[in-house]
Amino acid sequence: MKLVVERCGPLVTVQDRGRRGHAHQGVPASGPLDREAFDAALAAVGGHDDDAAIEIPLNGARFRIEGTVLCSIDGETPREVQDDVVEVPAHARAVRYLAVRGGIDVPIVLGARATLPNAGFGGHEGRPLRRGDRLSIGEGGSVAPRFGRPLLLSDEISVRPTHDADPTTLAAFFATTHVVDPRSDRVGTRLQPSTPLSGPARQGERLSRPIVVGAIQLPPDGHPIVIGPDGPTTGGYDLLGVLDRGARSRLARVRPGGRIRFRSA
Amino acid sequence: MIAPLGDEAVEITATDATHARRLARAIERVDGVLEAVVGWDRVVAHLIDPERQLSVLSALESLLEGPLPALAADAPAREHVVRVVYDGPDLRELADACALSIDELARRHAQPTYVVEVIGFLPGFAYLGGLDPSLVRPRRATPRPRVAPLSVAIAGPRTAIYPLPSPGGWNLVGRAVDCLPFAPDRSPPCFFSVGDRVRFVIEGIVG
Repeated sequence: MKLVVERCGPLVTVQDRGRRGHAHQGVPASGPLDREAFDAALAAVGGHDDDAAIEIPLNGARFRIEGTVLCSIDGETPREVQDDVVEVPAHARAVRYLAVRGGIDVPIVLGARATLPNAGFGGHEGRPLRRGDRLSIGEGGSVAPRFGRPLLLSDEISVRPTHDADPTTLAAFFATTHVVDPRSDRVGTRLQPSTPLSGPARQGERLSRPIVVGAIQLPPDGHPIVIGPDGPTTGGYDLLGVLDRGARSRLARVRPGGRIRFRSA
Repeated sequence: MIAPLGDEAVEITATDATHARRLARAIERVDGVLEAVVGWDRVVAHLIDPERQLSVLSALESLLEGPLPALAADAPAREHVVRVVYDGPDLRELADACALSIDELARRHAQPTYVVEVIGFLPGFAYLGGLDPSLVRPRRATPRPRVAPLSVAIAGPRTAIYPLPSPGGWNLVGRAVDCLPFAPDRSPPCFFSVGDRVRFVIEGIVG
């Protein structure tokens, strides 16, 4: 069985739950931007925990299935597709997932099937998908389809402040409305606060520190960046706080230009 | 000091890079810790399961009350020799800024035995400490959109080899020969580990 790409935007990738445990080698975890939507899609086709699916940001995509396979988008009621087209339309949520029963069968690299385009490995040939790519679908799983909670849109995202965050900057960060910058990607979600934030004045170059997915960095220009699944494992800017997995999923759903606020968890 | 970093990690303060390495060796053995990532003044422990953050926090507190095992007892540091052709696009500018000839800059860069202090930024990117103080220069004001892989670079008191093509703001002095800092299908994928020693040998100078 095959999945053929008929139409897709620039950043459609194969993702699984990612390769945690390699940050000490400088390797980001990768994995889905919206873990809850990914999990919902996988569960709806009775997928296994380590199955891979297709992540489709922003503009939707169209695929052709060769063979017969159970498909679900974002955990919606699955349908059996036989030698037919699967259209994934754009949605109010910024990122969508197409899961197929049996999973997308790409090689496991460093313990995962997730694509890391910046380093050129994982997924399909280490790169985002493009028109004409033919991906193999694995043998069907034996797990029964499961359905979970609906995926909600939220304009308020909770943050766990870091222990050394500057209290004044943090207060300003929570007080302002932020617009999701269209330059955001899997490395980081860039935010445009209605008033740029000013961090504590510092001299010279700073020591980088190990950071995590969901960490909110504050560069000198006052525009915060939330570190994404393909983001660097160390960073030299001040940290304001960290988004947990649920908060990261909710942030990933906000389309570029969308307005959000943050609150302390 | 020990503090949560989000719900999936814990941050532990260290006095310096050597202390951070010793801490990391002990921390990665704590039940519930997936891996320990070393920084210059701290270690971040990634957790297997966020639900167990409290128990890991208390396990780390007990760990830090006792003496840390010495580094040499676990694994002796490895030493790597990397050949470098000094022909980087910033070589002339850097030599001028340091008031050195290009030959002298290369000689001073290839003189020390460096220590891998931290791995981060990119897969396999090793921050090497021990740069000759006369070669210390800030990053470039404007980063390059693409630095060629295997570029040997200087920024602040450190030098490094870019493992992959990437944007970068470091001063490029040369390129490493016959060196593969990162290969995802190799085990381990990283050529360098934190604590390893690295020496550079001048393969050529093209100024």
